[in-house]
Amino acid sequence: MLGYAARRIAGIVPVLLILITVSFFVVRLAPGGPFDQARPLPPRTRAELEQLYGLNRPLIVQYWHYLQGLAHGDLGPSFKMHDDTVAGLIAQGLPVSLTLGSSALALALLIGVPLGLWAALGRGGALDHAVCAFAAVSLALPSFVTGPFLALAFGLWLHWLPVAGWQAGEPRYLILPAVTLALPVCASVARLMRGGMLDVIEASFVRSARARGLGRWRVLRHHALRPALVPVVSYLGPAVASLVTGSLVVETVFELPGTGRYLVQGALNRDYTLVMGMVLLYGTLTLLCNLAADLIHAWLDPRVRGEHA
Amino acid sequence: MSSIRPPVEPVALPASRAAAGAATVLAVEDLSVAFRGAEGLAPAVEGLSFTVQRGECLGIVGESGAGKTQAFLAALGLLASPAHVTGRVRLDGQELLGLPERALDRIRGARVGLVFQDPMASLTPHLRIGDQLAEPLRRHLGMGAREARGRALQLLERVRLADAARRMRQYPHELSGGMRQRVMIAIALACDPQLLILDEPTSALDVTLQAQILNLLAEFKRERGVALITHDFGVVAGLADQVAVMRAGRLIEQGSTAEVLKAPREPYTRQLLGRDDSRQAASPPGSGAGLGALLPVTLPASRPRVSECSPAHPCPTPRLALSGVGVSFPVARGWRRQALRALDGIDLTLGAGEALGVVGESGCGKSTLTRAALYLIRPAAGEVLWMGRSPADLPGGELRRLRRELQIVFQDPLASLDPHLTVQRLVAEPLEIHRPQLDASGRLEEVCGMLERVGLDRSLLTRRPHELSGGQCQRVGIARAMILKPRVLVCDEPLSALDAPTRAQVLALLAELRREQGTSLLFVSHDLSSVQRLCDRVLVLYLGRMAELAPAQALFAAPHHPYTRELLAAIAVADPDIQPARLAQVRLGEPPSPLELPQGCAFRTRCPQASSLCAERAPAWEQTAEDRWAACHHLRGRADDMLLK
Amino acid sequence: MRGSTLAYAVSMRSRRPGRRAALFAAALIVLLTLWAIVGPAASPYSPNGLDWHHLSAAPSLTDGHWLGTDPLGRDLYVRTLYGLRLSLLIGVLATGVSVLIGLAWGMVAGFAGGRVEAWMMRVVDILYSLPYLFIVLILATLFGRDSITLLLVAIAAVGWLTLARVVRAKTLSLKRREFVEAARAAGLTPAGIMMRHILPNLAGTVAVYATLMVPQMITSESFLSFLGLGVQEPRASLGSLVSEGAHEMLAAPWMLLVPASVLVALLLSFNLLGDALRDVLDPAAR
Repeated sequence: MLGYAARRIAGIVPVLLILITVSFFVVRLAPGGPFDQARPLPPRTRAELEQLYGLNRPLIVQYWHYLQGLAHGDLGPSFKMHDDTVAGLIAQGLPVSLTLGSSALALALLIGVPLGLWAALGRGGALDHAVCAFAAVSLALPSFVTGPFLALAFGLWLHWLPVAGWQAGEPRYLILPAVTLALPVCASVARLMRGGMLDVIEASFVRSARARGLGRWRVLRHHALRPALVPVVSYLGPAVASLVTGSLVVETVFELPGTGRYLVQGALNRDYTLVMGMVLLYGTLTLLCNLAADLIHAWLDPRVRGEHA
Repeated sequence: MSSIRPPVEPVALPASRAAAGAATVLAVEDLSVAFRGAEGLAPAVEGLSFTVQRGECLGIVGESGAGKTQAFLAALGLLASPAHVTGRVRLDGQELLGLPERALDRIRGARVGLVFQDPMASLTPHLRIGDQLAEPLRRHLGMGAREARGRALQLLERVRLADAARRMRQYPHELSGGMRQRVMIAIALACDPQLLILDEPTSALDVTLQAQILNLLAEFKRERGVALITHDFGVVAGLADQVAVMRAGRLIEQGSTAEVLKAPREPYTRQLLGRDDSRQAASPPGSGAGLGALLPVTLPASRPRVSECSPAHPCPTPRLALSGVGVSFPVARGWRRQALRALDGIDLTLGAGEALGVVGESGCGKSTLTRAALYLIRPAAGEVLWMGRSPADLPGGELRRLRRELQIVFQDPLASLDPHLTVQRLVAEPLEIHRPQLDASGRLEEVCGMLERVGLDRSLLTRRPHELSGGQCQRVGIARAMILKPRVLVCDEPLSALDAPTRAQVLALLAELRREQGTSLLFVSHDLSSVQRLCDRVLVLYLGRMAELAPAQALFAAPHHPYTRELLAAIAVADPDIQPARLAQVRLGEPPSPLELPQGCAFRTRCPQASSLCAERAPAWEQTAEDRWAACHHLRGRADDMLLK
Repeated sequence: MRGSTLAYAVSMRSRRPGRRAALFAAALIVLLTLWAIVGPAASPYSPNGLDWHHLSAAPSLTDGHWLGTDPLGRDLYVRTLYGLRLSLLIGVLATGVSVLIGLAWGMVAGFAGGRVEAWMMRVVDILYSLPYLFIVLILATLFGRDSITLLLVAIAAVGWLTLARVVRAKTLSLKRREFVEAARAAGLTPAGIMMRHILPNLAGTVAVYATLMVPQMITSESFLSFLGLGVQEPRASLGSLVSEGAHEMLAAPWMLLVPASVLVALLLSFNLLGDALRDVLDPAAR
């Protein structure tokens, strides 16, 4: 198990390096630069700025300097928000985004897993149909539709919850964004849990465990649950990805001070270091989540551990 | 025939059994099972009645789909889908049908133990062996954790699982198939049940492992009733005292094993036994010491003798020749990559019209050999020759053109046919490739002719593979392979996925095609009896190496290599007079992992004759008699030489 | 076999309650498409015509603005149908491009094997390690503004990844099947095997994934447009309409409700149809 984990962690580094390299050059290949504005800067100011940020040097040199900075944990200065470093901006936004993402994930799992289990055990019944319908509808609802709807219903009409904004430590501001973000993930989890359980219930080893007279609940909890969780866990890596992109929309709709806005702003402004910082942040996050999902998978199924990644 | 109402009353008990005053463990009366389908109730079992006595084994025999398993699953409330179950099932006098789930849970695993067919799928993959074994002990016998572990270890030792203490901590996938089935048996026996139900306990295993498991099961028969579900009369002959034959959900014949196996009343039973009446007369059961007399033999009238050629009369170029062929596959083990040597130093020739059988346990490289012979896998060493030409030296187009001379029939008839094509297109494909000048009507004519030849009706032309039965699929596969009249037909376990009666028909078809067209056959099978019926010579493979090569009759009459001897001894023979004794003689243990082959002779770890010499170096491939070769240090005659030195 | 086949048939019956829903979904897709094409002709208004007399008017049958207007007085019925047209077009075209790339990539990788396969799938893995919409977003922001073609390319550039993986896995398993070996043994060329035996057997899987990909592509486009990075004024897509509606939702809730309901109906129908197709064509992947 440890060897498997070590192999997987070692596999992350080269992927990150390739990711950095490719995005570094792609971002710079895009037409326009950070100092191209509607009203052009005086040539001297522009030259000075470019000198300051090293943009006048050959790309490969800039790349090398960026990598050197990274090695020391330095993500560079933001080109457009002149007083901030990229690391500083991320440090401001990340707590909000992480709070939102993790509460949405928790919500999705806490509701999705039991719903899926219930549906599978009462297969073909009313509850099963209800869960399937709920999942189908939720999956067709993009967060940029759910978000405004929830804000309209609970904020503007019912006045139960704030329409938008953020105050640290105030859960009232978190509820609507978290629900919006959790809904599609919750639906997927419920669906996968149901499918996984249905497959396992028909498996020969479950019949065999029942034939040993272990009792329905013991068989479910001890023999069926772990293998049935495998599809849910494999989905968790990509699920985090959808939380990240979903949070972009949710942060826009509910005007939350998270990291999402930096990405759009950075890309629009050609703020190279900021975009790179975001790519690095989201890339690392996704890779780590995929890794965590794979490790949990290996724990759930001992057969995976021996295989090559 | 299925319309005839089967005898519901059990056949009269033989005197010996009545005298023993055997207690009835299980009494099934008029059991019917029907599934709720789209068109109302579809019956799976109808009016089934039988009893199982203490200390006795009842064999329930029938083809797959006869309702054998469904009957027992219904009796224990284990059916997967909603079904209508009627009748009476009494375990030691207690009625089981209609019991609530909780009450059934106190019976299953405690008073009734079950062993299912596929040991890999029947053990929970993420739980350690020790935990799975301890579970029923703790639940049914109320043992504590420590006590249960101790008992579990004892149980594993009782089923003679090697290295039991270590196995307790392992996961199912770390054990071989034979070991897993021992674990399943240990779990079934854990609470000392009155009734043991064995559902095809050895069907997923090799003959050698089958013999060991049956041997083990015979030990546990004494104190309890055993119900053995199987399709194989050889298994019945070794273990069962009583036999019930089922067909399409009904019981059609019942009696003592000796009665049913020696004098079956129903034609269907005879068919299952693989005997039609003429053959049965030709082979009196149990008369000879050798195996040859037991198995009905039909050999082609004139067989080419390979040994007849000499420098004066040179042999014609063999149609297929392998010299020194080796194949290895890369295998990943953690960080390391290792080469699995699937085949090593294979030499063989296949003459015109000859049939060469290749036998061995699973994993011995039989299938790899067929792929290497057809150059579908590029051998890592050695050379393959087709009609004297090496496919390695041929340009791509030339190679593909020459392929028409060598065709293959596969093990799984359904998987070997492209599911989206119709029978017509499947059979016509080789014509489209190799005879493109043929027009559509000409092709259709050829296809129809070939279908007729393999005994398929024209009406099947527009069907797709999944609409056909297994036997029909295999006939389509054969038609496809034979339509270009190839000079060599390679058969990779062509019978193993088929039911017994179909098996006999397909075997007869192959023999016929061979006789008619003079096709050479390379026939790979783990079923020694069909090899004996079809082949002139037989090659025995052990872990990718050649163990023995000999004319079929000679090999079956007097095997030279100790592995061949053990292999032949492990075959289950459908004769209750001798099968139990044969079973008791099986000595072969578990095969070593092909990744960790023993030094010297690969077979020495399982060989009853192994000596220090065997560990030192691998035996050479030597001629032992006219037409016979083997690789062993202790061949007859050779051992004497060693003593003299 | 009889018992188990039956059990299978029974289980398939209970697993397929969505048959009617699928037919309904297919009908709805056809209806929405037809409506998007001919619907605007039924209204007297043009998509960009400004009606100064009806600014932010509520839905009404009397003034001809059946679904209301926006603050500039543009007719919402016509604009929504134009938005639907554009969203459908981008969704279907982007799916087409993605399917072509994904199918070719996956099939070649799966069939070639060895180093080629390892290299090709490595590319997919790396692209896959970033959230899908994240890459689309960066590509669209950097290259794709103002041009629908570039927007389409940005969306399609990442959409093929999942299909490439699925097709490769399926090709690998098909390649190992005995009927492909049989075709090789029969002397068929590798190209022949791909065209005759691999491609037709992939068709079902690809159809399922293509159907499920359309709503994904529509969502991507709407997502970008919602953030103001996709379709630009005065053109409208469902996403940009939802975005406008979200800004006006207190004053003119119909501006949110109308395009949002059309979008959800569209996505739901494609999802339902895809799921039903999967049950029929690809029962192993549930």
